Amino acid sequence: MIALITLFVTGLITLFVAFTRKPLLVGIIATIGLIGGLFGLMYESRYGIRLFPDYHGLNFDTTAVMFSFICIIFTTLLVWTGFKPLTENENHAGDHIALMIFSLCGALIMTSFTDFFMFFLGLEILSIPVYVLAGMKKSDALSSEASLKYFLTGSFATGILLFGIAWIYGSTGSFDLLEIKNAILNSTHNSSLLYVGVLLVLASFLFKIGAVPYHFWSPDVYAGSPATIMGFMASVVKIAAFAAILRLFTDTFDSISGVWGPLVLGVSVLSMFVGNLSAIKQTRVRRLLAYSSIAHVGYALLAVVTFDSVETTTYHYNVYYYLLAYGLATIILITAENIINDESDDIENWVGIARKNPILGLFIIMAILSLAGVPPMMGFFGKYLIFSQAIYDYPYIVAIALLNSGIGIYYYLKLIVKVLRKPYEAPKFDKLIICSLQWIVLIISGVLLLIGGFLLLLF
Amino acid sequence: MLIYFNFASQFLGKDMSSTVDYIPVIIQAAVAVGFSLATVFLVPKLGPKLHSRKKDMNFECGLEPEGNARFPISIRYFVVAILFVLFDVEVIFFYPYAVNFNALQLNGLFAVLIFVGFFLTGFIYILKKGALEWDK
Repeated sequence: MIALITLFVTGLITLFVAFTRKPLLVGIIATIGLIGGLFGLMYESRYGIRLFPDYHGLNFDTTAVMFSFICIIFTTLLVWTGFKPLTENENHAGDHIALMIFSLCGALIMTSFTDFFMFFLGLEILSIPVYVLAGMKKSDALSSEASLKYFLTGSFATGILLFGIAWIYGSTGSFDLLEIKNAILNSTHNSSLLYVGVLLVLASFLFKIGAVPYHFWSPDVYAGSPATIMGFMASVVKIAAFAAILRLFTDTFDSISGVWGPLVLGVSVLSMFVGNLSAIKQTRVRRLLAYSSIAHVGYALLAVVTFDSVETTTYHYNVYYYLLAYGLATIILITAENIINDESDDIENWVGIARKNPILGLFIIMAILSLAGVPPMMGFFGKYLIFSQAIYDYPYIVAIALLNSGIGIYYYLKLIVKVLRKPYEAPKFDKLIICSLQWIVLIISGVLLLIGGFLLLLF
Repeated sequence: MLIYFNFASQFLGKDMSSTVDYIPVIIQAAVAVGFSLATVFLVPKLGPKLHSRKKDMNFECGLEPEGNARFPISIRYFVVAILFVLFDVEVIFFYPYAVNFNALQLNGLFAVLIFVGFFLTGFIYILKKGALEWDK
């Protein structure tokens, strides 16, 4: 709660500080606020303080704190890496950063809600700033297209979600997650109203994370919106949505997992195939990342389905760890996108980056290897955790997932070859300008990706 | 019609929430939809067709249309319209508060103060942003 209020106030202050037309000041205040929010979160969970003891809409338990923590860190990294493009237009410098922070507030609510009311509010607070941010480049038609597409499809999904919540309320008579859980457990015969509601809610979730039958928006939106915002959608929005999925489906609707479990499993397999196979032919980096993110959602959903075979906290850790690895790798690639700063976003412009700037090349290769799931990197351990747990219940699905990892390695390695190859002709960009903030982001994420595997020894 | 009333009165006062109670509504809806559909499809068949230049023009409140409607409108119209909707909706939220003013006591007052505070912040923000300056 302290973190949430800190972040909200930070967003407001950032908005008004921007009137001084000093982007650096805006960035400093936003950073201080974000780190303050981080400390607020840790302080609250360490000493178990509740700011409003009477209020039960939000509960920052261990899972919520874990997911919120990583959301705040990722937002901070993204504000740093995208500082230049975000503050390019002095008039809107504060708006962009403040909208990201407001969206983060929604993400925090999404991780910690205890009733459907707060959940819906959180989802809206998370989504609406992202709709705006996707259209950040006003002069770019693709950016406007991304914003409009995301807004129209997203609001439709929200409508379906509301409809689902209404059905669940109709069958259980409550918005509160605990009461709904008890109502489902206690009733001998659940009405079909409840199942319809759960499936509608599930559909809108799958839309938000971009899983396969609902994935059509994601490549267009990812490719059109600015790189930083794409990183935000791929990391923070997804992490928040997965936190909500864990809280809703595996915590609240766990007793009716027979209804949604097989569906999620099917969506997971479809996501892997569609994501990986579509990514092979992509000629634009951000579209490739979008399809690879669809595939990664598939792997993460596999961890969501395998919850009943293990203890509650373990699968939370699995999903968390996997998304952490994915988010860090995405942030490195987004930083590279920001550094290359290429409007056409052609994959050919990545040719020879490692020869121009070997250290940047190293970070990019580390990130790609992590996405592909190659052992020293964190991404491998994420996949390992998920697969090793899923293999007890669904050995065939794990085989399919491994096959998909193989397909994934093909296009990831193709990208690595491009990064390492000597350019045939003189490249368009002469010099790669990397500002100090971007170095910091690269080093933090790169080091975390490297040592991430050893973090497992601690838990 | 008489049969229908007899039919409906059989169920009156028995079970208020039963599906049968909605039969009058369904009949009403069917009549409404049927009438409008019949009008749409029958009128062109029945009436004679006479064309003239003035008759084929777009109907615009009886006045003769002037110029093309597809000219660019200043974005300020939209900004002002959106802001109007925003602050208009805010007023709607005051109504339930005003009705429950006594019951909500001090807590309600604080909640409304916070709510108004947020809106005031937004208002100051758009003022400083220059969204309401017409000539710029």
